[in-house]
Amino acid sequence: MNARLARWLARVPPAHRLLLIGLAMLALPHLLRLPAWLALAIPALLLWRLAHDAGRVRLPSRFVLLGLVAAAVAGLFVHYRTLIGRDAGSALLLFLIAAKLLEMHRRRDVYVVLFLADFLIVVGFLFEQSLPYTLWMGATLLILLAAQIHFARHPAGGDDGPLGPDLRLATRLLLQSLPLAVVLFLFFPRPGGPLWGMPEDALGARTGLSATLSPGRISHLSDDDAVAFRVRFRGPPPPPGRLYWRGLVHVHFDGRSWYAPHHPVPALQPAELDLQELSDPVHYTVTLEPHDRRWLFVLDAPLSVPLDTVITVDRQVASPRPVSELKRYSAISVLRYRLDTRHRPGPVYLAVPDGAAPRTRALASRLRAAQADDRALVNAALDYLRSEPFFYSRQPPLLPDDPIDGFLFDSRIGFCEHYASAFAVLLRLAGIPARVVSGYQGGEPNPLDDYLIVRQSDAHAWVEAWLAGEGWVRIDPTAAIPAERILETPERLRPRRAEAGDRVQTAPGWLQRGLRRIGFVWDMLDERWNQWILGFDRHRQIDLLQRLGIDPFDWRATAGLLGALAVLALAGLLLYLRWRDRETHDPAIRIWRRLCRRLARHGLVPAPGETPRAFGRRCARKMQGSARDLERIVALYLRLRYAPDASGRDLEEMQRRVRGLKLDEKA
Amino acid sequence: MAGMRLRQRFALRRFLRGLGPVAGPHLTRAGNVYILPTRQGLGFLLVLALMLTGAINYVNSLAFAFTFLLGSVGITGIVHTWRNLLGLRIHVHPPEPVFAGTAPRLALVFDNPDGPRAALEITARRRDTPRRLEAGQGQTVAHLDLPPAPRGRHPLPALQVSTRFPLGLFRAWTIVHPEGDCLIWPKPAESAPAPRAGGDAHTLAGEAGQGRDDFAGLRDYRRGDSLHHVHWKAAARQQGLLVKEFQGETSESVILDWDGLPPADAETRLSLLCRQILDAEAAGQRYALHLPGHAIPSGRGADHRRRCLDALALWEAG
Repeated sequence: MNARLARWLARVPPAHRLLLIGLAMLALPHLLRLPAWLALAIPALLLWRLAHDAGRVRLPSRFVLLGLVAAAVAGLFVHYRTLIGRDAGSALLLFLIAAKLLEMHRRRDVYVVLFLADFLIVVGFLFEQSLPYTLWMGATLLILLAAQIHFARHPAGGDDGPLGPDLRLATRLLLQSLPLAVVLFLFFPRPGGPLWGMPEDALGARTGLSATLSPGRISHLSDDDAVAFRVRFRGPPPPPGRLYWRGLVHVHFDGRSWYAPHHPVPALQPAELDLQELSDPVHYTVTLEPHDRRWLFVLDAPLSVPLDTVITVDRQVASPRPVSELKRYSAISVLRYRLDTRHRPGPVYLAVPDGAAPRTRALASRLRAAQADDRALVNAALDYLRSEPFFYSRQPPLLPDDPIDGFLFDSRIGFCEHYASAFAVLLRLAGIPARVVSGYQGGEPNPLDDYLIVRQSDAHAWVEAWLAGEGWVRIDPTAAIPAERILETPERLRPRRAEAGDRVQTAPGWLQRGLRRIGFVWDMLDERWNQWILGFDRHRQIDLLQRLGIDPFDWRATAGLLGALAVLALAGLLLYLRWRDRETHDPAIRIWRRLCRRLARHGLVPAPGETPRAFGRRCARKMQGSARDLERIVALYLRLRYAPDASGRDLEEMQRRVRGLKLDEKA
Repeated sequence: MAGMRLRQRFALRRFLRGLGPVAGPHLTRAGNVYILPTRQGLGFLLVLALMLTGAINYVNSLAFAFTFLLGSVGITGIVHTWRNLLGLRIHVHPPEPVFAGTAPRLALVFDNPDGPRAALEITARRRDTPRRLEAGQGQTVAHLDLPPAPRGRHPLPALQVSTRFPLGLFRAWTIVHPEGDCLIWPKPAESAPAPRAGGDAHTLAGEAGQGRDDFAGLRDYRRGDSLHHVHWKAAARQQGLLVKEFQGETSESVILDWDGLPPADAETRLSLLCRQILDAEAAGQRYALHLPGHAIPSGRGADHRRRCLDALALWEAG
């Protein structure tokens, strides 16, 4: 920084420096999602105030300011089509804070800015809830609190002292507030749902699966390493190759795209499930990252689903509301099963629009002519994929014409969506009921803790076909592609899916190993964060209360517990503060006590009523070797305590002498 | 405190003005430090309510967490504000008498055995700009200008010692009502007629004369002294210029007499007398004060001046 700028900044009153830093920290994460003009306007307003405080520019007149606010409000309305709700509301709030800075003349205005900033911190959590973001906001709150303390310390303004004491006090205040905050967090009743319905804009566009599957339209598969969900199994986790996480079931095909019902209908009571278990059930708990859709992911096939969810005829599991917050749910699945063997599915599972995929139609007829048995036909179709030169690529060419024929006969390069979609069409045309399922495959165990991480890049699509006598059978055509036909081999691009067993194991270098380890530690922290903080909702609260032996539905018992614990936390705070006050503030006494503790180890303890001078003399007689030092220290102590002209130098000398004192009995 | 009756204990007066003057230093303790939210505190409460509503509506665990954290910070702030005032020993020294129209200045000594107390405020009246101070460990002296008052003897007002530190959301206060009073002299008039010359009672009885001089002693020559009184013999002996002083010297003695003033109302007369006292004292004259029903014999010096001014301050008709 050049010296002129430093001098310039030094003219800004410390309290305003603190306030502006806090507001900048608060605004920073918001700027990215604001419209560009606003993202530029807000730093500009902060800089305006800074320049004013440095004595460079004047603040705008009230008239100009009103104009600015009106323009911003109009701009926001044009951009968001509303002024309320999460997105527009937070943008407006941020602008108003910045504008209020330019109209901050009196103490009262400072508090308005501080309170709005506090409010915006909380609003910000509707967008982002990660651990680093929360720590960042904690630091922001600390800075803002320190500013608030500074303003209270100098209510008349003017004499702006150092900021160190304010920052320290803000830290102490935050730490001392934690116990009560924890009590409130755990036991303050959490009402069940939204008060006035979840505003629509709480659901932004996030990465994740789409309800529409359009192979050939998208030129590359997302490489997003973001976590989709995490799973804890009760008991040992099944092998990764068996983990097919069902999400959406695409039934309708229009010749180009597959569609999943946008609003799943609760079509099935659990009793209607026609499911035969062929293996032991697997119990697990999923912590799902918000994806703003209603579907949930369960292992193929679900036996039992959470109470507040619905399950459709296609065994798609959906939450009653879009998942816009972290959601935890437990489910039971069975990995080997017979499903819906009794009734042949309806014609909708055979529908392919007329005229779509003529060459595939011909292939289907050929296969059907050769194989009368459905199972044999499926195997023949898989053999076709294996024997013909099909390749796996995450960046296949686009298929502008018929995506099915184009993939099966021309390009022959694709990823799971291409394979699943083409395979399902082929089966349907051969008269076998089929549907496409999208979800995730596999998952990466965190070696530091026993849970599984499923990432967006684990997204997968496969086919379910109905075979007489076997019911719905899962077929993964992508898995038919041999490993050597997988293109783009860098580690991170290699499919993690069903080919897990075939994966070529290359020995990672130490750096890679280290990075992976850090990644796992980080993910573990993130998982704990999700479990204990973000995922703490009404259900977990009820769970906790029950474990404490309190009826969670008896509000008097809950309120009693909350009150008792809150009083306990406050009493603890008061006792702590009293205890801390006992620890005296006079540094001379502190040093003297330190000396007394050392002397006590040699059996020298001041008798009741013994003056420091007498005690010192007694010690000097015993510690002949350090008699002179001791006498000097006592003299310094008495001087510091009682002489009106004692100075800081005396204190330093006393400190130095006590520190350097060697207790020696011999002269 | 223990003997306080319930009605007294909860009387509003107790929290605003106290229950009357108390002798000795005021020790702040749990029973006499009160605390209420400030306007900012109420605003903060409103913001907290909004946050909680948002957290409930969006079912957002972190929003709950930070709302509770902020609420707890506010509550911890109450404790800190309250403790910022606790354990102080406040001694109040009544002000020196002043002329009406000037603010009497009170001295407060804060005896603080603990760590520093930031942002203390002292006011005598609600709307006054408070006197602010920080009381470090040990003794801190603060002066407080009381509102100017009319002539007379005024009991010391109840003072509020308060603080909003550290968050400004709560204000803790204590009522310090010291015993003692504050004397206000009349405001001296711009100018006053020259007082009647005269001696004290026995001088008045005889004729004014230099022949009746009772030699009182010698003093150093001052400008304006009559050459008649210079002790020339001493001057001749190289002892410097000395002046003989005589008792009952009429030329330098005046009588400040209520009845000798032009007709005016009582306060005006007192103002004029006040001016006369100041003038006479400044001129080095001896003066006696005659008020209806009260007379102070002739004299001079700070004590005499104080006695006369006090008499003016306390004079009441009838």
